[in-house]
Amino acid sequence: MSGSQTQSAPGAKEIDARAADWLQRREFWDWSDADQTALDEWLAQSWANRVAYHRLEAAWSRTNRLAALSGYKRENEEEGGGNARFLLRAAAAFALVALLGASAAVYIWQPKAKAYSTGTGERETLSLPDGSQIELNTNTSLRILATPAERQVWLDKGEAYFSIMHNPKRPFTVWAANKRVTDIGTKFVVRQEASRLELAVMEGRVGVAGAADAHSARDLQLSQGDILVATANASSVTRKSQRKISNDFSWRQGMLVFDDVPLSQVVAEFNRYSTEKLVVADDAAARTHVSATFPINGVEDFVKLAHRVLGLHVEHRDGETVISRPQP
Amino acid sequence: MAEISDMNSKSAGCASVGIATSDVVEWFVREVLPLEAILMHFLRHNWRGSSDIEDLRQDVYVRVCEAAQKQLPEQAKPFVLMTARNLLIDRVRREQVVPIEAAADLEALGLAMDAPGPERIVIARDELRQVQAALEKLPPRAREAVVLGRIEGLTGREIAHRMGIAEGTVSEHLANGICILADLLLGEPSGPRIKK
Repeated sequence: MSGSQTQSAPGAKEIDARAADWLQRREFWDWSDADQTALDEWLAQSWANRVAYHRLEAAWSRTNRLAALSGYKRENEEEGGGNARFLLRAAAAFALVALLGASAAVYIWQPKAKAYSTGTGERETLSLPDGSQIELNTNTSLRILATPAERQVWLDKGEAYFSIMHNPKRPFTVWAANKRVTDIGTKFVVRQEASRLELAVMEGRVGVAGAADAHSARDLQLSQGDILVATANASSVTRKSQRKISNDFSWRQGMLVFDDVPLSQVVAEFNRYSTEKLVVADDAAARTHVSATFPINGVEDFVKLAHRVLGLHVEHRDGETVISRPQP
Repeated sequence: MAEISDMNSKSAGCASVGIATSDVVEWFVREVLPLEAILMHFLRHNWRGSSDIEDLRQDVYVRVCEAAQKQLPEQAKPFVLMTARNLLIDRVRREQVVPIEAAADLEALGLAMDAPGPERIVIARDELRQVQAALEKLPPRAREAVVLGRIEGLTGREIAHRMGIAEGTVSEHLANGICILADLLLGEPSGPRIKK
């Protein structure tokens, strides 16, 4: 192999130690923009630094699951094995039921909650008195209840971006799809469709309770770049790069950004914003990959380009626009 | 305003532009890191020189990423192992004082690369148990700090208070714990057998 000879100037162990120090500082100590800048600079210095940091970060993110182990210590001290574990499970399950029960109770008792909603294709930004902001995407309904003791939002449907002024004395909680999302100084997006919850953390940290992974009252902790997808009985956490995340949420700038995604997904996305629906007629068309940027109301541009550039067949019928791949 | 490209037409083999660093990092995390147990097995098995295995691992990763910046390889595994093999050959030349077996072994590497081996990283069904097992292996103080931070959700300052030690010491324990966890979670085969 030709190319650069990698000199192992500072040993791998030193670089690992340095990377681990960055990571623990980011995870457990005050973390300012200046710290982030310093980390970014350190990462930019070499691939050795990047590789070490992202390797540790990837491994560390797998320990996210430990959050499910609230009883870890007790279980360990008892050395009890199966029985203790079963009791813990049972206790955790009970706690979950209690939690859901509490959420139902709160649901019924909500005298001062204010409701906000957007129609298809609409967006709205709410500014709360405490400086927090909530941006509602298309077709979204939520209710806000702010008391001196706490701030709560119920996301009944759709998608919203939250930029929260953190105040430990007045926690901020979002309820969506039976999950409780608690802010720990954060910017994040929550999307609910039927009973499916999608949560992306853009800055800071959030806790999630009731995510199915943990039959536990303990919050699952997510940090910047983490994406949680949870249904009624399963959940998974993945991590995306900053760029991918900003693509996903370019709706906040009124744009839709697609980076090598199948046409079916592009169409599904446009359909969220428009009452005139697009339909993909066949698999061949659905599998066509697209990289493009459109204004959010640019469905007509998209249709034109699908026809002219991708060579797809476009037909308007019964208020629908049907896209298909012409038969050879 | 709108650029569009049809990626459906077979090979997306446009090697002209460099790959964005963030994409390389993402590829590295997604495709290369899961191979770490295989890579470490390969390196341990084939290397008897004086360099630390960790240094070799890092060099492989750096080389792989530098190459990926020009073009992402289609398949990570053969690419990573080929890079490791080339690195070992370079090292053999450079170190000169290599035991003969090491050089002899290198000849057989072509075979070793394709051997199925104990690899085939199955993402552990019960990953939680795997993570828990790794946690048990940490030195006691590091484990305590990680448990308090990760499970109890305490901040560094609170951990220091709870453990009754200086904040700087907490940082050291946490960093140490993170490093060991990574070695255990990535570098060891995910079966029950875990070597020291």
